[in-house]
Formats: sequence, C-alpha cells, structure tokens
Amino acid sequence: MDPRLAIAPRALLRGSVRITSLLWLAVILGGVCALLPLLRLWSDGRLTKLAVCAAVAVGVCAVAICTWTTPTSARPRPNAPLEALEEAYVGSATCKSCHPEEHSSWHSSFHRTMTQRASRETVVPQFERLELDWYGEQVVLEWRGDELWTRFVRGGGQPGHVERPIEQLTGSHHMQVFWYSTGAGRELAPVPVCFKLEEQIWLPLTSVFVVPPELRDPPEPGKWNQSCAMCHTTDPRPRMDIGRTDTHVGELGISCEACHGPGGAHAAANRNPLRRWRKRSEGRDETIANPGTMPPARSAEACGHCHSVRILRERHFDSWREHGSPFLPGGDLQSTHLVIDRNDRDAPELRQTLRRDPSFFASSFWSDGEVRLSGREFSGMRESPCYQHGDTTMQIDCTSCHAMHREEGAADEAWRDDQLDDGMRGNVGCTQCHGDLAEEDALRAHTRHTPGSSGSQCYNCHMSHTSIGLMKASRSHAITSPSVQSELATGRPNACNQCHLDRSLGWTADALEEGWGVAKPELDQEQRDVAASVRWILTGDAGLRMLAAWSYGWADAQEASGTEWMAPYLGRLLDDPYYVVRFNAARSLGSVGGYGGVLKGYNHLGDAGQAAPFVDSVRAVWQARYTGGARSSVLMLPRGLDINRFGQLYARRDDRMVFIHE
Amino acid sequence: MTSKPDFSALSARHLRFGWGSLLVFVVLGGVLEAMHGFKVDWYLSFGSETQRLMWRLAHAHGTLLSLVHVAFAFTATRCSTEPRVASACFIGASVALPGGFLLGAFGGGGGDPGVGIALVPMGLLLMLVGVAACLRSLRP
Repeated sequence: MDPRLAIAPRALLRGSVRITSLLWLAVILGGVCALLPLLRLWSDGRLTKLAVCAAVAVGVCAVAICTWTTPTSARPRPNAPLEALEEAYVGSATCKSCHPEEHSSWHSSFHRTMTQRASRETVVPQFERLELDWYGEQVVLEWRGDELWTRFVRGGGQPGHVERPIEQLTGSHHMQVFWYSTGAGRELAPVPVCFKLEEQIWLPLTSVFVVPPELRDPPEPGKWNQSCAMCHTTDPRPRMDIGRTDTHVGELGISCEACHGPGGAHAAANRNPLRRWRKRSEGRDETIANPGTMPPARSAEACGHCHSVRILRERHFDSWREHGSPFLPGGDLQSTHLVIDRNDRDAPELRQTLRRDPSFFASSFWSDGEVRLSGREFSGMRESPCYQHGDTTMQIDCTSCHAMHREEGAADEAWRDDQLDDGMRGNVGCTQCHGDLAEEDALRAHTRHTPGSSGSQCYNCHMSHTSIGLMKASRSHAITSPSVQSELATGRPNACNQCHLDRSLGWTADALEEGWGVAKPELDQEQRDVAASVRWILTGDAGLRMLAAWSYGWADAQEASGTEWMAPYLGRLLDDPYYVVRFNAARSLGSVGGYGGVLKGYNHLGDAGQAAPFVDSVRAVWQARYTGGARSSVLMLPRGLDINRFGQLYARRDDRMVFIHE
Repeated sequence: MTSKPDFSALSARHLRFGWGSLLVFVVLGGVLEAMHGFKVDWYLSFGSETQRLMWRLAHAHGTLLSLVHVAFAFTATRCSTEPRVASACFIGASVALPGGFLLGAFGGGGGDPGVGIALVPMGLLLMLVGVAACLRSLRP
C-alpha cells in the first residue's frame, strides 16, 4: 500500500480550502469597511483608497497562501463504514436543537464514544510511533500526519503483511480497540493489540478474554461489519454479500435513535410549535419511542436488543444483510430475535452458531442458564422474579435503577461509569418495591448485617459478581438469593462466599439455614472445612479462578475476610495458563499491600518459566510476614501454609479449556 | 453671542443608519425565530449549535447597535463639538460586531467559531472609543 494514498488528492480538498480562504478575505474586507469611517476623518480620500487597495491585495495573497498551504483532515473514506442516515432517521445533531439537556448528558456518556473515527482527538494513548509486542511479533502504530497507521505481520489463517490506515476505534471506557480498513470494500479488521485505559498498558487483543492462551489470532476481518457494528453504532446496515462489504451506519457510536428509534417522523411532526406545546402538557408523544415511559417489558427490551445473548430470527436473515436489525425500540424483541436461554439448544437459529462453536452455551451461561457474560444484563434480569412479576406496576426494567440522561451539570464521573440513577448506589433500587426493608431494624433483621455495612447492601447478596467481561467480574443482573445448592449444581460462586472469602460452603450453609431457613444441602468434608474461595482458586476452572482472583481484590471482600492470608493464593495464580487470571491475580495482589516490590518486573503475558519465580517470591515474602496463626479454612497452620493440603488441592485444578466469548 | 453648532446632517445620517439597520436585523431575528420555531431542516441540520449561536448574537448585537445609532442621532444635537470620531466608531462597530458574528458562524469547528470572530474584538474597541468620544463631545 502506497502511504501517499493516505493523503487525499489536493483537488478533493480544494472545496474546503476555498471556503477558508474566502472567509479570511471577508474578514479582512470587513475590518477595512469597519475602519473606513475613521480613515476618512484623517485623510482626503487618498488614504482610504490606498487602504482598500492594500486590503484587497492582502486578501488575495491570503487566499493564494491558504489555497496552497492550508492543511485539512477532510478526506474521503472509501474503505471505512459510511455514515449515512436512512430516510426515517435524523441524527443526534437534530435531536439536540429541542433536547439540549438530554443531548448533553448523552454526549458525555460512553455510549456516544463506543465507536469513533480514529483521530488525534479520539485516540486515548499519546504517541507518535509505537513498536508493540504481539506474542513475539512486532505491531507498529504510527501517526502519518493526522492519520494513524498500523503495520504488522498477520498470523493464523490470514497470513500476510499488513500496512493499513486505522479508521475506527471501539471503546473509551475500559479499553480501546483499533480497526484498520482491509481495503476490501468497507471491511474492517482489528489491530491485534488494544489499549487498557485504567492501567495505561497495551495488551494483545485475545489476552483480554478468558480464552485458552494458544488462541492468539484476533477476530477475522469483517467481524466488525457483521457483528460489532450491530450494537456499537446506530442504525447499522451490514450490506455484506459474497465479495461485497459496503457497511453503512446512521451514526458511529450509540446515539439517540439507537434507544428512541428513528426520529424523522417525530422531528417533522414537531416543527409545529403548537403541537410541541400540546404534547409537552400531555407528557407523551406517540411519534417517538421513549423507554422511560414504555411498559416495563418493552422498555427493558429496548436495552435488551443489545444487552442480551440473542440471535436474529431466521426469517429476518436476508433483510438483515441489507437493512440491518428489524427491531425498533418499543417493539417486541422476541418477535424479531431469539433471546437465548438454556432451553434453546435446538432452536433453528442456533444451528449454525453451535456448528461453528459447540462451546457456545458453556461459554455464555452457567449450567442453570444464568448468563455468564457481562454486558448481557437483560438476559439475567428477565430470569428474575422482580422482572417476571405479573403486576406491571411492580415489574422492574432497566430504568428502575439506571438513568440514561442527567440534568445539566449532573453527568459526573460516577454516573458515566455505570449510569446509575440518583440514590441507586444504596438500597433505594430495591426498597422502591420492598419498602418494608427501608427501615434500619427491618434491614438488620433481614440481612443479619449492620445497616450501612457492605453486607446490608441488597445487591451484594442478590446481584453478586458472577458475570465475566472486560477483564473483570461484573454483577449478575439475575436477581437471586444466595444458595449453596446452586453452587453445588452449577459451580457458580455463591454471594456469601464471594465476600466471606475465608469461609467454607459449610459455614455458609449453616448461616443460611440459621438466618433464612434455607435447607442445608449435603456437603463433603472438604466443602465443609475448606474456604470456598480457596477451592475455586486451587481446583476451579479458568472462569472460576478468574472470578476468585477478582474477588480477592474487591474492597468489600477484603474488609470482610482480612487480607493477611491471601498472598500465597494470589501468588499461585501468577503463572496460571490464562492471561486474564494472571492479570486479576496481580492486580488483587497489588491491592493487598506490600507486594509491589515483589511484583516489579512481573509481566502477566510472560511464559510459564518467566512467571514461576514470582510465585515463589510472593510466597517467600508472605511467609516472612505472616502472623495470623492457624486458620484451617484457608489451610493455615500455626507457622504458615499447609503446603501438603495446598498441593493436593492444586493438583486437582480443572484444566478443561474455557472460552468465554464476550 | 455664539450660535449653537448645527450637527443636523450627522444626526440625520445616524437616524437613517439606525432605522435602516434595525430593519435589517429585526428581519434577521424574525427569520431565525421562524426557522427555530418551525424546526426548519436547513437551519437545524446546518452545522452546529455554535453556528446558530453566532447568528443569534449577530441579530442581538445588530439590533441593539441600531438603537444606539438612533440614540446617538439625538445625542449629537446636544454636543458642543461635532462628534465625528464617535460617529465613525459607531458606524464601524455596527459593521464589525454583527458582521464578525455572522462570519464567525462559518469555518469553525469543535464548538469554536470561525475566523470571522476576529472582527468582534475590533468592533468592541470601536464601540468603546465611540462611547468615550461621544462623552468628550458632550463636554460644555
């Protein structure tokens, strides 16, 4: 690829350059006109004429200079998805003229910046040229003028040298992924490294997922056009066929019409100021979908169109290729999509998916059907009694706790993070219906924890962190009660032990029976004696180890369980086969305190040989410091770790391959 | 006995200028209001909120300066010396201030106006000088 093609031909830029030049000319002439009356006072007219001539000369020179030198970033993008509004859509700029406050809070949200054109303003990491490591291969990112380019050798099934401009970015909250145009129509492919924003580090793209470490090739070209665009843009149309990729989107990013549906009819009808006044007093307008006023199920489905594990109904496949999703907010999601649950293994829509990926159900759901992926909250919520409520006045939807818009100036960082409504960080979300628990005494009696403590927060027991995504654990939106029985049946950590990391399943079963009358399931000796989290780390599969590693760094769990015993367990995970497990173990170990020096030089992407010495160093440092005495649940003898028991359990680690496809 | 100086020609010029520009800027205001009220596509989809703000500011400044000219026309008849500098400055300001905002609506980006906005500080300066010169001419 000739890099000179990155710069648009001069002829194409002339239009914008001429406008700039004419503006300068107009400014100069305007200035002279404004000063003319003054000039006339002090001259007999010759000075005035001279000034006009000088101004015209300066203006002409300015036009000439600007024409040949003015840089501009405007350029055609024949190989990038095209932003083109369909007839029924108007775009967020039009919405702003009547809804400036809503536009403002949306504008500050991460929904807007989910997909952006790559530019110096939108690319978060600051650099001019970077040489990054991708499992031993070099990936180069460099700015050429105002264009970002990548250069690397592609491996796997798509070998070849890549040197292409980066057109788009995904994400601005947790990580930023870079997409280059392949040159085949408007097809995009991911650069095999991404930038983790919180830690300010570059990571191989596949290393951020819970997938076997051998899986190193990034998603294949066209994945964005076919899959990512469906939820990361507004009104996406894949327009993909054999030999053709001509993807169009209404807007990059998730904008107004993604949640409110096409706004053309609404904007047209409301050109009439009398109608606007009438509709404002009525409080509703049937020309636009508003999840805030819809019946709960419709409202939740408007979000669920993206925030669920779903697949398009087979009958819409053909029209989808050209026109995108047939679902519009306010409609019935189930009529256009199959929102997948555990009973759908034989659904015709899933035949192709299961043929391609037999692990689909295991990677998306726990064995009882509870969703295991983060970002699919609707799939979890709809399994909850609070959503399945027969009484729609009591039925929850996403807007019961979340607010997509804030008043002017109230769109702060905390809101941007999870878009929770005012007060919803406490128990208000639940006490809206469960009002009896708003009283302190009732709350203490129900939770058996001190009001104000983390154990008295409804969501810590009923929405525990059992969903995986973005290199961390997230809250399940399946609102359930803690259950040892469920953990025995599914392997999913129970809420009590995700906080009480130093306690066993037996301890939890006793507490649930005593406090809430939950029947105690049969437990073996190990389940009764050994802390559940210790078993997750030493004997669990990669998904379970990742959740455990994250939980050890959770401040609420550290407060409830103490941290002085944790290091050997987190240290053990530093050479885990799965990079995400190692990453979380190192992060949690860093939060325990006192291990920063030991971790210096640790690279969670290193091979097992490089990571192994850190396992020993952490244990040695911990051994020298430990004064906690004997604690059988976490395998502590009076003078330190019960190495034999630790080793016996670790030998039983579940090494079955885990794919969690986010 | 000294006769009162006659500045009626200057006064008439500013009355014509003032009422004339008032007509222009009130029409501009009416057009902008109508386009906003009826949500005219061209107006709403044209560029950014900053551009629309620039046009509103051009309308507001043009209208107010028109009234300044009318007031100045009556003030001129009370001056002891001919307020030629003030007259020139007010006319210049009436070109530079609304003209700067009008031009500033074009060629900007990222919430900033275009280069035309450079005329606005010049207009402000002319306005300040004009006001000071007017005061000076009113000295007995």
